[in-house]
Amino acid sequence: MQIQLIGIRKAFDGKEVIHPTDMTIEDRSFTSLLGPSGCGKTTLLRMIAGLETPDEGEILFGSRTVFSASQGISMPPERRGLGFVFQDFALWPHLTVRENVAFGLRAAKRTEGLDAKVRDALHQVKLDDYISYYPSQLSGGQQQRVAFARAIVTEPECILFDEPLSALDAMLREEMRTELRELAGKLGITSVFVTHDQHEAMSMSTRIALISKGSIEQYDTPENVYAHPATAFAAHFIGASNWIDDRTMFRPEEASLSAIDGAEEFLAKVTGSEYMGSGYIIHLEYSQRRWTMESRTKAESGSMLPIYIKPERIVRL
Amino acid sequence: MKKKALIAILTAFLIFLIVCPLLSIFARAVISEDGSLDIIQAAETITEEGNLRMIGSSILLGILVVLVSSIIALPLAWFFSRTRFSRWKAFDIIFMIPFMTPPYIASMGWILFMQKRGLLTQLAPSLSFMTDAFFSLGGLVAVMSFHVFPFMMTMMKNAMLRIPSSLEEAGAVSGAGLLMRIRRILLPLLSGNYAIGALLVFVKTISEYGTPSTLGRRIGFDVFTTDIHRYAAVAPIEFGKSASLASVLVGICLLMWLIQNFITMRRSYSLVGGRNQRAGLTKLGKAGMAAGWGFIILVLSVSIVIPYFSIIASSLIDLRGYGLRAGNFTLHHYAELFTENDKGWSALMNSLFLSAVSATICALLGTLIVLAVRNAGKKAGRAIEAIGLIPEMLPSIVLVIGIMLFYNTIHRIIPAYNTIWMMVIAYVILFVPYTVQYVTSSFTQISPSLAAAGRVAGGTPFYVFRRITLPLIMRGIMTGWMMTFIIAFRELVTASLIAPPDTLVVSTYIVREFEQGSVALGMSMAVICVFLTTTSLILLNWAVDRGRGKAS
Repeated sequence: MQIQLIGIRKAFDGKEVIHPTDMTIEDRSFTSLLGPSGCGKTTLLRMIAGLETPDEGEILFGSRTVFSASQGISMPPERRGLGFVFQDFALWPHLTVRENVAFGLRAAKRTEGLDAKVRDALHQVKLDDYISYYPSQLSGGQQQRVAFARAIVTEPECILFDEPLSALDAMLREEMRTELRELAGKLGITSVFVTHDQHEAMSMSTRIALISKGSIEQYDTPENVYAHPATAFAAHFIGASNWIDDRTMFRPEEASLSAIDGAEEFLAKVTGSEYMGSGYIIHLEYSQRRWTMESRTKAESGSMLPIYIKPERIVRL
Repeated sequence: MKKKALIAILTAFLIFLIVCPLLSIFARAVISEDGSLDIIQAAETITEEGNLRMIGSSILLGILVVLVSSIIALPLAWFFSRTRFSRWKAFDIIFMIPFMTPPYIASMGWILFMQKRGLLTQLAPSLSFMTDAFFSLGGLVAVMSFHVFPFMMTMMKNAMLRIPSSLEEAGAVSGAGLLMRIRRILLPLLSGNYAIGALLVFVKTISEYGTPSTLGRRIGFDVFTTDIHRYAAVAPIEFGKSASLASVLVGICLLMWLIQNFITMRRSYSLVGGRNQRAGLTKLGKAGMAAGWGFIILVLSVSIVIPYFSIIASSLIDLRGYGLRAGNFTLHHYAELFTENDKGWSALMNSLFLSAVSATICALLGTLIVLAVRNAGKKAGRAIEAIGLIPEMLPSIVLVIGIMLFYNTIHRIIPAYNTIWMMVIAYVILFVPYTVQYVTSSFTQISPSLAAAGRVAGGTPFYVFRRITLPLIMRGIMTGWMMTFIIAFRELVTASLIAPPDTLVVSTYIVREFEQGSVALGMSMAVICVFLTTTSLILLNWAVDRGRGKAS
């Protein structure tokens, strides 16, 4: 299902948190809304779900208008037919795993074959044996899986994820990252994934919308967002960047410490080295800007080091 | 919009129910019988010599009770938070008992114990000199403190528990001895809490009617509540004076609440955040433990053992003249309660009816208020909540006077005055804050995403309320219902002012029998009342604790 946002704007208490925004989320894509906290990414997601009402604009699911300020259409969340995985999982503590998952089917009075559907959803997330547990009896990862099963049981065309991995510890997060991506791909569902973690966004997404202060800075594939940042914010927010001047930068791994044909040369002063096991991170200073470079060998503090970069690897904004 | 209309209706209803009676007091205080504005009359009432003296004594009483209950509560709070005594959780419940015992019953127990030829002189005739010492301001202060100290104890105990022991350990490592640590670390961190506790104890004391009306009256010590009651209930009835004094009392209470608020904002430290909050216990030596036990036993004796022994013994003594003597004990007063005449039985039934009906209405109304607060905008929500909580901030007697005045005025429209429904209305007004508080606190434990998740999963707002929200706040509603039932069951001041003629409830029955009938009958009813309500309260506490353990 394709999701289209047209001229969406939202203000809270007179403060505009989403500036007029257009965006098309492709059918069956895994799209991340990436940005620092408070940038408006969660608000955008909640407006798609119908949990917040935009002040202006339109939202289309395929050809179906679910929101239009000018036509006075605002479909309530229960009629949008989406899956949603919440940051705190939002499992209902008074209901068993079975009833948590079955809720959407019961609410829609789709009780035919309910048991089989619930079991199937739980099987997808490998929780077959936990059907009669209460949420409080499950670990964090298991709760996360129940939340996912609950989101897919109604067979929605789109699932929205609101930082679903941030409540898990680092080990589990990596594991669930792969698992969620695989499940979403297998089910062929359009996924919209909100996160502030660039690694999550890069590794899972087909497209990333990089958001800052209520506006989309760049909307592209992860590779392009990294290699060709469209704005200074994009260059700063994702990956490491060494700035030559205010508008010109390169990614550290694109540069070399040994001479390359046709490369530009910069002479930078070494301010320190950090041993990382696999090599060193050299800290440099170039016209009062801090750079970092990876190196197999240590560099002497205070010495001058030549850096070589091919001109096409230098990004001008 | 439908939602807005419903919220507006509820707000109007709350204003009618709670604000109008309150305004009636101020109106009555400054408007004389013939309808003209008369501020001088109010000023005259207040500055009448007797009334000025009364205001002075009320404030003196409040201050003395704060002092004495601090002396009792502070050491206990320390024992129960910072020493081995904190491990015995049973103390938490045992020390609830004095606070939960209706003050009029506890003071009747003390009167029966200390009076001339009372239980004490029967047990130890040589101690009869204490009788005169007891029937004095000192005795009144002591009995009121024995009732109210658990409140301050719990507050201070929780405050002490919240101070992480690392703060004290850091002091010790920096070279401070025990005394210096207490003086420089513990006390400054606690001073805000103590000030709040002291103010609340003060407000509770000057609002209290039960003890002053029983023990205070015997020694001729008049305070606000007893004078307000006298002007409103004893001929010659002077509602104007009653209203003027009530207004002054409201003023004092509001001032205290303002100060309390100010202190809460200015002097509270954020002590949460440290991860490792071990409860660091101070090791007590043999002498320390003995002192602890001694103090705990002493406090328990005066706050529980003596009053309870006294009412139970008095209910069992056959002939008062023979006193405590083998062979002079009987259970027949309990039978007499229900066989002699139908007064005892009907009082019990009236109380059961009133508490059950008002608890049910409170549960509904209180839940509606909380729902409205959460669905209205920020400002409107705060206003609705404030109205709903007014009755808890003010002395019951003040509200009851307001209710009398207001329903007298609108008698033609709502003829509730002098019927049992007047009492239901009054109970609902007085006790609706309990439900509001319990339901609000159960809401704070529910993440807003739980309801959002229900909506996204396809539930309509009503379906989500029925399947998710309501089950999750049900425990709060039930707890509120039980609390309201218990408190309403023993309520004295409302019943004594607005019960219809010849209608007795448990509390007024006890007072009447105690003052002019059979003490044994009154005390039998008191035992039944206390037994019923205290047991259900302890059961409730236990059930809530268990439930909480299961949920987390």
